[in-house]
Amino acid sequence: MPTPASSGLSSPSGFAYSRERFQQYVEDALAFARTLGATDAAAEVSEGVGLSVSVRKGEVENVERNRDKSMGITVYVGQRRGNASTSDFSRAALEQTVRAAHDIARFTAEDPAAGLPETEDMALGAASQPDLDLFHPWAIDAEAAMQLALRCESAALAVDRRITNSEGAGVSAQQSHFYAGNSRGFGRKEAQRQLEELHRKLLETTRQAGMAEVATGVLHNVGNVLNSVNVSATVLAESVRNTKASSISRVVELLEINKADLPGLFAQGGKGQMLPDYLATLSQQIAAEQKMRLSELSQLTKNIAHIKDIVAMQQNYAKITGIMELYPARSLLDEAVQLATADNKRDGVALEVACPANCPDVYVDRHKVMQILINLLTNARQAMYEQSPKGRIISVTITHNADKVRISVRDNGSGISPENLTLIFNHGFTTKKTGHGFGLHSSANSAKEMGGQLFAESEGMGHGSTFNLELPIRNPASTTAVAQTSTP
Amino acid sequence: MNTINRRILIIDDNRAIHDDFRKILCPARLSNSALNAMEDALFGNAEPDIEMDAYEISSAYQGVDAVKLISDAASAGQPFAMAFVDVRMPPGMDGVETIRSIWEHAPSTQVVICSAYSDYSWEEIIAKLGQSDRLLILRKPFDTVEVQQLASNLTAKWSRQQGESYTA
Repeated sequence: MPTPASSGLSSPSGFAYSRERFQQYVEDALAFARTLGATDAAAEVSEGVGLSVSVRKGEVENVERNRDKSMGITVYVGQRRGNASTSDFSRAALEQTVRAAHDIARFTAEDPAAGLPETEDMALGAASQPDLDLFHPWAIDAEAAMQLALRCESAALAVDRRITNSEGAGVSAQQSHFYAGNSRGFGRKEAQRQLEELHRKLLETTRQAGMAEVATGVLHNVGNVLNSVNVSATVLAESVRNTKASSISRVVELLEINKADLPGLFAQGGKGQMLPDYLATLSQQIAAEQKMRLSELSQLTKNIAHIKDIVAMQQNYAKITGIMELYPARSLLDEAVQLATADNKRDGVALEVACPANCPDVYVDRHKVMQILINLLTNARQAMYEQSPKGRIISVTITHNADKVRISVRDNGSGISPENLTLIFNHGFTTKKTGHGFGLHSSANSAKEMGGQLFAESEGMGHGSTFNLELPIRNPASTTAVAQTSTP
Repeated sequence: MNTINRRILIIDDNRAIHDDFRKILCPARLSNSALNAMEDALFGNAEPDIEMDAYEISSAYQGVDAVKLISDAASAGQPFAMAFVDVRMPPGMDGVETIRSIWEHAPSTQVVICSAYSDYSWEEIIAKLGQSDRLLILRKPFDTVEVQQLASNLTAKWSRQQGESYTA
């Protein structure tokens, strides 16, 4: 909360700006500083109005009204600090000033002493802001001030007849108010609102990010497989180009030349004597070439099939979004497994799936379920990095009751401490070094949106964890039950 | 006269890619010298074998392992002349981070960064690693001849730059 240095701003005054207005300016400046990348910022906005009158020897010499305003912003980038101020409160000027302060902060030397006080050292909340009784407005107009000044001077002159001259008398009334805030103890409410807005935006982008992540994964996989295909093709071409099979024509040529005297060719000391051995060695060589090519071709075929699978999966996955339909839980799981477990083999992760034969279909947005399952399978794999590769097992169990199907993804990895069991679904919560912390959050949300739920179970750190995704069997909005079809 | 250091490190999370590099740089030779000798006697002027550079290929599947191999090799006096580095290597360091770390340990290492698609733009790579004459970019799927030429030229370049200080 703000820490206004003067209270009672609501009293009648000649101020042009309200407290709310000032608060807004400060919030805007701090928010803008954050978007520029400031680590901390402090802003102070103030306004002053006043009147001063001076008289001398019974004559009014000077009547002066003043009105000033200023906004100062201090921006911290780590231990660097920059400061700028403006008297123009327009949005453009405000941003320019924050930017100027930020620029200065970026280019000044680090100062270990620079920085804001710790949050706990700050006065937060209305309760900790005592009225310091500093504001005593004096609503006096120029005429009254002149009269007062004249009276004052004449009173001085009247003290003694020997006083014949004066340096004059003056009356001055000044009042000001300011509003100060910084990024640590300031505007909790505003921060909260921004967080919520950010959260909404993130939810939208999470969906896209999920898609992009799958698309990126697909590209990467296809790219790598394509590389092997390309190498295999080149190796094969090379092998065909350099084949020893062509030597047979040279043998034919030799026989052709010696057609008239074949016995001579094969006589003692003739070249023909070498031919049987040569042909035997040649046929071995050709057989070896053949074997190599066959093995290369089988790799090639396997890799092409792999690309076909990846592409087909991506097409299926990309086709349907946002439509609630009945799907066999098992086939959703199988597709998610295909997309998410490419790295399982590398990480030595075994996957076990148990699904009853008579499992009913689930009424879901296939896109959302895929997203959730991919997320759960990836998390499960990553949870076992600490685990020795031998014991890395993900087991997926599908169970059901009268109105829902539960897909449980269990890993025997690092586990979840009891206090984190629900926290993990919080937005921005992550224990991964490079995590964003919105995977589980958005998964839980989309499960809910479909009329299902996502929750976690774990017996604590080191005991693995189970994520349960429950999905509705029939459309919860419709009054009549959708006919159930069983998984083939 | 210095010999050329032909030690190459392949850094990629995908094992198939390591096989690809080995197929290209160390092709399985089916050549049969007995057969060639007989052909020479029978037909005369047998085709001479093409001399292929013989590379020593090592593999790392994660950035951390690669950096360790590089620094161990350097301190053992058996430095790698070059490395082929994949950009994307989940879950650990990515290629660009790996290269930065490699250069901290062995600044002379020639590097070819390989990517299947653009995780990083060229500008971003330069921004992270600085403008360097030790870095080349190879797009996947790569051309086998390109890989052979890169290996041949960069190992020679490394050895030339080490000059007198290196004898294999």
